[in-house]
Amino acid sequence: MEAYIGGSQAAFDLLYQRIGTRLFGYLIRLTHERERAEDLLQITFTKLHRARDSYLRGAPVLPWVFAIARRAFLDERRHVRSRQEDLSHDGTLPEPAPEAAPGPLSDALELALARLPNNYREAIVLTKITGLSMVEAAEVLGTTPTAIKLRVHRGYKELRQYLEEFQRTR
Amino acid sequence: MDPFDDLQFQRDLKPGDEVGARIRRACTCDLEPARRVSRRRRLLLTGVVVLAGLVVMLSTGLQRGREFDSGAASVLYGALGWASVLLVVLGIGVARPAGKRMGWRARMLVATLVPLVFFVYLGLAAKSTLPLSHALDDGGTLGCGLFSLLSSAVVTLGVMLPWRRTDPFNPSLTGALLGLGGGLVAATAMGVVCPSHEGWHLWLAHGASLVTVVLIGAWVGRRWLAP
Repeated sequence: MEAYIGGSQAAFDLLYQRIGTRLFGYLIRLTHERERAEDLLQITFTKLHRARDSYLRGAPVLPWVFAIARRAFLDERRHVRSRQEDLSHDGTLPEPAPEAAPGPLSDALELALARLPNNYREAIVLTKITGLSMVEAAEVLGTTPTAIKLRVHRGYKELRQYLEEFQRTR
Repeated sequence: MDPFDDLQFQRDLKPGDEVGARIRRACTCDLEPARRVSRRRRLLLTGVVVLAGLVVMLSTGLQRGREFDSGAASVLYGALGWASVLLVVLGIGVARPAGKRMGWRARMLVATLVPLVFFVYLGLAAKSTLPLSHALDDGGTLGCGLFSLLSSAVVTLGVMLPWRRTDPFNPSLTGALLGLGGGLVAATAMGVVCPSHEGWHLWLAHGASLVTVVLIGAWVGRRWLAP
């Protein structure tokens, strides 16, 4: 990050290589749409680029970048909600796409994860999937590490219930 | 096996190459060494704006010829007290780097509690309370309120400028605290220059402007302080 702020293109490439995929994984779990996640990834990096001079020397990069991504997502969601709904030609709301039937366990887990309440899902995605520490995840979500532990624990309990249901119905 | 190891994320969830190329283009086309402003310098600028605001408001208000008779000491103690609260609020707001600041709840508590305590203080400082209609009809309440609101809004925006794009974590809350800081600059100065001790005048002209500027701070903070 320091080298990138200093103007090195190679440093930016390395930064993108290291965090791009993780960030995209986080964004796709927030949005559930590939295109939106890609748009948000671009917005996040553009914001990161514009704000690079305010990055605190020596501070951990991941919480900083993930907090920017989360805020970009929240802003975009607010913007989408404030827009009028698109109606089809007959004046009715478009039908949502049918939920795919779960296949292997990982797909079931993805579905279960998508059904979790936002705060539990974010805590699990940040710590378990994206690999942030409890402290880093707490910084991103603006809360305490204890609250993150609690959310992860409760999220796990709900995930377990969903997965047990899935196993029974298989 | 940990089922998380088998998630899509670990399998094939990567942004498209075209997206990567677009990001690279956008972030490297004007890549030059960024001019960085240290946190110490930002703090210094904040202090300068606060001090300038205090001096300008005090000198503007005192030019109107306020006379201090018996209550000069209590006015001075009140001003010193709120100036100390102002320093604490700004310290909680921006002294530590974003992400390392006090917890969200504690900062929220400060942003809520300080205006409440200020209202209680104004109630205690009031020497008389006339009917509300009297304060509403009195041009002094409107003038005092507008002067207080405008000057604190200007100080708030001035205080926010050095901190632009520095807080992706809680920009609204940081903005609210900076707004509270700006409002307290006005509260400190108005406590000295305003001769009125009427209850509704104090609550409407001084108290309401503080709350308004906290809300303005939160609104502007969301747009200015986030990267």
